[in-house]
Formats: sequence, structure tokens, C-alpha cells
Amino acid sequence: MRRQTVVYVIWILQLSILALAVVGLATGNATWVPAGVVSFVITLLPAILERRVNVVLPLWLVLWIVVSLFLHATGGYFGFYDSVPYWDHITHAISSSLVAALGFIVVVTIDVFVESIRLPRPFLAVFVFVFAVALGVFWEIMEYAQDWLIGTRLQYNLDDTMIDLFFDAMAGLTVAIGVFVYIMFYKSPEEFVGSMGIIDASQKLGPLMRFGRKTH
Amino acid sequence: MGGTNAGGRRLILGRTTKEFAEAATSWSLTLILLAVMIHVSLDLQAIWIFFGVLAITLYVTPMLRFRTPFKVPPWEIVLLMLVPAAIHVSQGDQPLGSYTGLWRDVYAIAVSLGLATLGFLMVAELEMYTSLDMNRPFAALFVVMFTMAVAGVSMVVVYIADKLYNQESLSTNGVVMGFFIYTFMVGIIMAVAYDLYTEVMPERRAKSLGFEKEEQA
Repeated sequence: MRRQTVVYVIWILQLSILALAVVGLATGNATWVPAGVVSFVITLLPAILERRVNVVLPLWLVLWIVVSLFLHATGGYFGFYDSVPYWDHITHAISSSLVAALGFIVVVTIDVFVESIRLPRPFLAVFVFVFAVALGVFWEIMEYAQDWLIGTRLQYNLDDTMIDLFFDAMAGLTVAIGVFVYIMFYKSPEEFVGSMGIIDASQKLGPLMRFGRKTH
Repeated sequence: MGGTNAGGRRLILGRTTKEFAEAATSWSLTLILLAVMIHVSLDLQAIWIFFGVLAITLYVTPMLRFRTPFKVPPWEIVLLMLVPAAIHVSQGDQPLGSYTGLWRDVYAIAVSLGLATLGFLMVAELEMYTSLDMNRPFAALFVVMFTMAVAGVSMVVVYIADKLYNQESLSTNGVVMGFFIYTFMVGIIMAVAYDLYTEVMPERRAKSLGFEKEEQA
């Protein structure tokens, strides 16, 4: 696929998410309006990052972000979470792989820029898996808390929660294996971070990047 | 076997008495842990088999890697791992879903504590035996994350085992979620504990255990 085509696809998906929020508001179907608005704002973040701190996220990642939010917003708005079997688990797998990819970007950036942290390459892959599963568990806790506090019904039963987590773990594992192969055989952490343009960003994020002192 | 080194200190198997005692204490506690784990595993409860296999693997990996019985985790961490197993055994080896009331909470905390000690040990070993370096916030964060991840994976493993053997050891969603919430809290406590642990450890011991790397000194 040509780069420009991907950019167009991203725009169309972004606009669709915004459209859902607007239509929801106009037709009084307000339940998923906040989620739609928040999703749309999140899809703007890569562009904001690029403008503000010269961080260029890889295009496939931006597409992945937009696709997962699109599936989440449409699933909620049209009730696919309830009506389409496995919708919940598929979105879990997709968003979990996204979380894993973002976890990789965060940890590899920390590895390159924070002086007191040095992470061996295989550890980066382990971190990605751990990060994905841990956030999956946090997500379930958050759903549970929300059901308990404001009486929503996000969690159905034990089977549902455990299958969600199973998909989270599988997605995390897949990305972790991908990260392992990528970082061991294709690009060093420094090259990867360099290709995102974070080198320039480090000037602006200086104090943040130097946060924390050594254990010893 | 015996002998003295250049400084005139007594040596056992080429180690100072202190190093030998350190490893021996760790070893004896591990044998107790192993016995408890075998006892617990005989009940075929997936969560404890999972805990036991991970704990023992984490214990022996450095020894195998460096080919010496002296590369063992500090005894106090092994002692910490014994606590949850002891609570489990003292309550007659019941699975998570079978308790009600206060014991359900105590039991969930015991299992969470067990998983959190694995996170504790994992980070300690990474710092001791690999070129990995973490600063304090990162280490604390990783202890919490590792604990949560192990909790998530272990519950999935138990769930699959339940499905395969037609059991319901997890009972309801609420029980599992309560377990996750406890694990999160215990994980945070363990992260703080880890931070204090590496902070208060005397410099000489930190060096001999490998927490502090020689080239940085």
C-alpha cells in the first residue's frame, strides 16, 4: 500500500469516529458520545506529537491506533459488543497489541535516553509482554470498578473476563516476539528511536528524560 | 575444602565463611520451599503449581547460568516466598473459590503476595546477574507490572485448567477481580519494599550479591 493511501484511510476512520459522536449527540443516543469524542481526540495525538515535539510515530502504528479506536467506538455505538460474537475479544486483542506496541516505544525511548537505565535487548521483548498483560489486568479492574461504582455492565461473567485476558496475553506475546526479532536482527534501539525523530524531542523533554536517580 | 585466602580469612569451598553461610541459608530455605511446593502441587491446583515452577525456575536459573551453587538469591527473598505457601498449607490447601468471608480475603492476599514475591525476585535477579540497570522509579514500576502480569497469566492458566478438568476452582468473576485488586495493592507494597530493600542493604553485601556492579563503584 502506498503511504498516501494509508494516510487517507486514517483520515476516513478518524472522521467516522467523529461522525459517530456528532450523530449520537444529534439523535439523543448519548451513551457513546464521550467515548467517541475521547477516541477522536486520541487519534489526533500522533499529529500533535509530530507538530509539538518532532516525534514521528511509524505510520503503521498510527493506523493501528485509529483502527482499534474505530472498532471500539463503532462496536459501542452499534451494539456490536453485545450482538457480534467475539467482538469484545477481537477488540481486546487489537487494542492489547496496540498497547504492547506503545509499551515498546516508551521502553525503548527510556532505554536510549535515561542514563540510569540500561536494558538488554531481550528484556525489551519481555517488558512488552509484561506491559501488555499488566495493562490488560488493569483494564479489567477498571471495568469492574466502573460496574461497581456507576452500575454499568461492562463485565459479563468470569468466562468473558478470562477470555479477554487470554486474548490480551496472546496479542502481547505476538508483539513481544515481533519486537524480539526486530530489535535483535533489524534495528538497534538507538536506530529505532532515531528513526522516530525523538533525538530532537529529547532537547525539549530534557528534564523529564533525566528523571530518577540510580538504585546505587 | 578449607584454607585461608590472602587476607588470612578462613575459606570454605573457595568462599569466605560469610559467603558460604549466605548461600547455605538460602539453600536450606529453598529445600523447605521445594518440599512445600511438592506437597502443594500434589493437590493439582494450577495456581500453586504455576507459582512453584516459576519460583524454583527463578531460583536455579542463575546457578545453571554461572555453574556455581553460590549464585543463589538472598535468603530473605526465599523466606518471603515461603510466607504465602505457608498460609496456603495452614488452611488445608483449599482452592481460591472455596473460601468465604474473611479467609477468602486472607487467602487472596496470600496468593497475591506469592505472585508479588516472584516480581520482587525477578527484578532482583535481573539487577544482580545481568547487565541490566534500572533506576528506582523504573524498578518499582516493573515490580508492580510484573506482579500484575503474572497474576493475569496465572488466572488464565487456572481458568484453562479448570475448563480442561471440569472444575470451578475460581468460582465467580467477583472472586477473581477481588484477587486482582489485592494483587495490585500487594504489588505496590512489594515495590516500596523492594525500593527500601535495595536502599538499606549494606554496600558490602550489595556488592557481594551483585546488586552493585563492580565497574560502577
